[in-house]
Amino acid sequence: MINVENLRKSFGKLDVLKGISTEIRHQEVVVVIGPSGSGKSTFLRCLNGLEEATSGKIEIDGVELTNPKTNIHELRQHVGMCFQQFNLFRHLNILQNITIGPMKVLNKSKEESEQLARQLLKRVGLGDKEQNYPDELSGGQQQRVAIARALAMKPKVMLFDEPTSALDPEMVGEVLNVIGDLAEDGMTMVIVTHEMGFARKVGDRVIFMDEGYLIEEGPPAEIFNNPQEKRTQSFLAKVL
Amino acid sequence: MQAVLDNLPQLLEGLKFTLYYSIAAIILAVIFGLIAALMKLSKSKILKGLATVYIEVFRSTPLLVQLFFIVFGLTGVLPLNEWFGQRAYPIIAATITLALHEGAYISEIIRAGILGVDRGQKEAAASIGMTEYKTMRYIVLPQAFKRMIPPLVNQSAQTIKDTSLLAPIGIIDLVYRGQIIISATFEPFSIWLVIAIIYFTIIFAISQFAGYLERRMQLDKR
Ligand SMILES: Nc1ncnc2c1ncn2[C@@H]1O[C@H](COP(=O)(O)OP(=O)(O)OP(=O)(O)O)[C@@H](O)[C@H]1O
Ligand SMILES: [Mg+2]
Repeated sequence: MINVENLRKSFGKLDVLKGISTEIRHQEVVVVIGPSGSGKSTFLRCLNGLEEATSGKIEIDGVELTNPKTNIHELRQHVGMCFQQFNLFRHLNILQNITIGPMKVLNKSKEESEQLARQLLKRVGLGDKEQNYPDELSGGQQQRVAIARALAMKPKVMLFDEPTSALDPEMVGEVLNVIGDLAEDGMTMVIVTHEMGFARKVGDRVIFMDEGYLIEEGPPAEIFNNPQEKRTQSFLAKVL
Repeated sequence: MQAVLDNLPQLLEGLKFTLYYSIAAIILAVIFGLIAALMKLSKSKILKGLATVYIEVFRSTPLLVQLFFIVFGLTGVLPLNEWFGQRAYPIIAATITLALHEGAYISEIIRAGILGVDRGQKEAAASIGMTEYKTMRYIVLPQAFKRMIPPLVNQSAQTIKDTSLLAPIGIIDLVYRGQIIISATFEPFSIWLVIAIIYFTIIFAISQFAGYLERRMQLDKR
């Protein structure tokens, strides 16, 4: 589904990703963990071209993202993303937040888009909020709307960048439940998170990153119970 | 006082033209300002450079000089009066010059408004596959325009004041009418006083309105 080969990314002189290679299979849930500043967000943002790779190759469903000839906007329709700060469109109500993609990007009719949006809102447990504005919702509710907004594009992959770290503790569960449901429905996902319990539960594979390198990857049970690399061991000792 | 009462319809007729020119200039100025702001924010060095030259030239020279230059200066080298008509050219040229002048300020208002929109909004739009154009059109500009409204209303008040400079180039407005009436009645004090009161009433009302909008916007952070 996603193929990453020797991905490098620098901001000026700062090398943030120093050659990442991995593969994400269809319907796989990959969890990315690692210390702050290790390049997790940058890695994720390269996967939908929000950051342009400095070198290396990224292929998504057979389309080479890193090829300058690729239509990046078209490709992003198939790669959904949820942000730490939700980033709902502040001037649009909840329903419009979800319909704007199908209507303006996919040129679907208003009726069809609204029908889909209501379906998705129900799925994330917010059927009664469609006329509200983002700033009238709690963080957990906003993040669930953001997930619905991404799903409205019918993506093949979903990327999550610390979807719960801006939330009050009592709201973390409701968002993780929605993501967990997606995993069960067979959505391919890459999730950056600090929620180790969640990583263990929904992850098919865990990637540990440090200082721009992919240090270690494997099934959650192996990484969490029996990490092979020193850096993984010391990181896990701190967070578990 | 009698002179004022006798000539009030004439003055109001002048005011009507003042408002016509103001409205035309403001509408054009928003268009020019938007184009210049987008050029200045674009990646192209050429577009950026052109917009910068436009903005700096119009902000760093007096409006009266701009008006004289474009209305009378250009006709010295180009047969503009023939192309547009002897009567129409000064009016068209003066309105456009006024719009270019205000547009230079408005472009900075619009640019600040666009830059004030959170980067996360653009990234979210990009992440659902919007092109730069659609992101600007459906996400950035609607949010930017909301916060630009109070300064734009203020700039409209400024524009109404600036139209008084159309009189020296022979365009009929409130000031021009006033000068004609004064030359017939020899009552400069009362006529200028009335003109000042008319400007004050309109402009004070508009800037109060801008202040109200600004306060309301601060309450409603959307
Ligand atoms: N746009 C940018 N310009 C310059 N430096 C950047 C930029 N984005 C990220 N960086 C730097 O790249 C490094 C990795 O950042 P990144 O956000 O990918 O880390 P992270 O693993 O997601 O950290 P965190 O857990 O704190 O979110 C950091 O040193 C950061 O300062
Ligand atoms: Mg991060």
